[in-house]
Amino acid sequence: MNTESYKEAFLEEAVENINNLNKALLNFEKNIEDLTPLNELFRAAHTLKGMSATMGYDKLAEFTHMLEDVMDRIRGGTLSPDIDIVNLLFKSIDVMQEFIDNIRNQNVDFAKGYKEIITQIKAKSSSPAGEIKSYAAPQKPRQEKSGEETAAPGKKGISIIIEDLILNEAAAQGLKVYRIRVNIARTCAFKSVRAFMVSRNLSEKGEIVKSSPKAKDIEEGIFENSFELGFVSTSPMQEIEQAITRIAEIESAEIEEIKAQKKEAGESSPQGAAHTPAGAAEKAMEIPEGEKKAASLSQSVRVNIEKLDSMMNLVGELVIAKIRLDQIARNKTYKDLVSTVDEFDRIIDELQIEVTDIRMLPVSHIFDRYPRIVRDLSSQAGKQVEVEITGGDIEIDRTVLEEINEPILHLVRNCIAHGLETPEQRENAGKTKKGVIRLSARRDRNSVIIEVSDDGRGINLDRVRKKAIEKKLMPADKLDLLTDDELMNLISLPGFSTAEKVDTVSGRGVGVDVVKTKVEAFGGIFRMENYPGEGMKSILKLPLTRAIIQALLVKSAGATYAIPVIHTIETVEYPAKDIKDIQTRRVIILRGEVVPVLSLSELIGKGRQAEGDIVNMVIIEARDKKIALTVDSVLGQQEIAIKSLGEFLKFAKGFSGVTILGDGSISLIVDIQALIESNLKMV
Amino acid sequence: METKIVGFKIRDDDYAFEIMKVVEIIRLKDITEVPTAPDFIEGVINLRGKIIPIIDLRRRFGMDDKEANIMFRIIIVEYAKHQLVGVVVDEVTKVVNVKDSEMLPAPSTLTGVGGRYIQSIVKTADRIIVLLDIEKIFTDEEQDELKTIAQTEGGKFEESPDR
Repeated sequence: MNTESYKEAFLEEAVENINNLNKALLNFEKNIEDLTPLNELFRAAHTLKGMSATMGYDKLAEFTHMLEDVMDRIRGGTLSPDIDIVNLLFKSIDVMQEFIDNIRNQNVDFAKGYKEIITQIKAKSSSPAGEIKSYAAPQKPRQEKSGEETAAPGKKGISIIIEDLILNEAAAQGLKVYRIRVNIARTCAFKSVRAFMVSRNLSEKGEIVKSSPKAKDIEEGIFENSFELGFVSTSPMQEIEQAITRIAEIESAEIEEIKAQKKEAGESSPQGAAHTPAGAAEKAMEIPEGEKKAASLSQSVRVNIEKLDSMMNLVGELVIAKIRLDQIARNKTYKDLVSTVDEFDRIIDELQIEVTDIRMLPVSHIFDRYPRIVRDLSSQAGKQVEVEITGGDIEIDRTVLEEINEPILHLVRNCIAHGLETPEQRENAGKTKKGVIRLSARRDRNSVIIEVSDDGRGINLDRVRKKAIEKKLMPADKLDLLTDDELMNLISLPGFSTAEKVDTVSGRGVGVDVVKTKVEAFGGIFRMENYPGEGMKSILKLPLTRAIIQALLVKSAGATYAIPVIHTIETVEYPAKDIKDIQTRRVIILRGEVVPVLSLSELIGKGRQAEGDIVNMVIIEARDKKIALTVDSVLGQQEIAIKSLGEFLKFAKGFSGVTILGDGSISLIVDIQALIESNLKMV
Repeated sequence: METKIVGFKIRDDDYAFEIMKVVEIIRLKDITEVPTAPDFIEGVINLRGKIIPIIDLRRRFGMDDKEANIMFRIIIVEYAKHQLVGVVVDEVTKVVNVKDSEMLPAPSTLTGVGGRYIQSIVKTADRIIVLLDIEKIFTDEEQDELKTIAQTEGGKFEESPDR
């Protein structure tokens, strides 16, 4: 191991910690009264400080140390947070990001303006306004025995905060809520084991609803000599204390009971309590449950992505070899060979699934950045915007994820710049002042669908029409023939932007067309839905992975072509006599729907092939529409490993890559969108 | 200083590539056509799992097609330091050692077939060999197009120019 590989790990972890900082700070900003997110903030800053000091990045260490200090003081109550401080903290996170970028790219431990931030924060935190009397919560975990004090509730200095929601619900269920601090002997070697025993013993008596630090960290032993719990139970305090202190190496347990503000529910109705606290407590339990799950997954290894890439390539080759072997085995008559090959098949399939899986990352990796980005962009634009995220746990190949980050950023910018209105405009329209941007992800067979939507004004089609005329994209009479959907799709033409003024957020005339090109470049589909006055939605349909995909093999003009299954809907055999000619176009009627017919060989410039009585067609989805693509024959569906065509063939429009078939021959992978587009231009 | 060059024939003319650019020489094999590619790209071959584009110099030079025969070879050369390209030739002659003094710059008046792709002219005792520069196979416009494509693929959205 050399320092380079440590650096790699350092950078990765640093980025994670910065993300955590952003997330926690956003939470904190939402409710400055609630100091819970500060624990997370403090911990992330602390980790960063430790890491950077170890790596010898002294300036970064100094900077994070200062931040850590500030957070500690806020947490400890000696500094009262206000919006200025929050803003400074946000700026500090950006500075840290710059530190990390500089370390990564130039290997220098420096960030522009970090000194100024330090000065500003120092000025802020020492100004009399920033200071308040130190009244509460000593931050350093207390090491001294405090057994005698346990009985007296109230001034324990246990800082964990239990939400009112839990308190009220617990009270309604007749359960007691305790705050517990468990002090473990300093000599204890396996803090995490003791912590586990505590949680096990407590689980017999009730439910742990909260912990500080997080359950994950406690289970990994990442805490000083004490940790704090929120606990809901029917048992009296005495019993709980015994349950904890009978574990070896537990020095003491400090417990206090907390009650909800509203007391009318009464605390002790043994009725609903019993041994299994129902309802409220179980609901509250969901959070730590999830954290525990995360903890059990943490036995992981960091692997350089290049290694994964080359592994994926090898698996791709293996898949090709497998297909060849398959074909050979089928042609021979050795029984043993066939069964061995079948076995081989199964193993490779599994291997492929596993390797593909390793490369998967949850979309939250990029989604989670958005609350922060939107915060900054919307305040620049003078708008109030909230981000809602769903399906953050949906996984997608890392490379695909990387590629869609910018398209999504672009769409989000568009939402803020064009879609969402100012607070006044929204009020006039009878909406809430705060606009909403929704980011969602979901799985759909072999693809992932990502949607970016807002509840703004939607796309003004009149303006699109005007703009199209102005920019001479299409003559007015032709525009009138377009449906609303088609009109809206003009937005994705190069150079189209309806924003009246150019600003930093968006609107430089390179918007949706770039997004569309990018998404389609790796085999995805992009489309938009417009709800005038209520908002709009951009939909990205993405392949799960880029390296190995399912494709339909077809023959056309003597060659074999692969069409990615993501673009296909079905294959049909259609009687030639039923193909209708409408003006110059050929169409078929498919279950009552008129579908235009195009010939694959014609699209690739080889002229239309002679057709028999029955025409083989692949119904594909391109540009939001169904198209019947005629081919000579359909060979079947199989998985293919995509290989790039290389620089030379970037001239070759209409193909996204090639694959090697079972017999060693090459098949071109058809890029349906590009083919049809270049064809439309030709017409 | 001496340079080794790999000689080959197209029609009756002698050509050569510098040996440092030549990766390997293989027999002619099935070439898969890429229908929408420019004319001079004959297609692609599968060389032990690698996809390699094949350039037809004959077409690039504006010569007539010739029916393939058993002497035909594909010379795999390195283009732009990392990309492999195959060139179909009528036959490979031999590797020749040439002295620097035997290598003459291409005369600027040379307007003959393929004049643009010439790196230098090699005069040996018995013949004249045209040393080709694979890097010049693309025209300037094609180079530009390649570059723009590479930029739009790898570039950032923010940097895309207004159109």
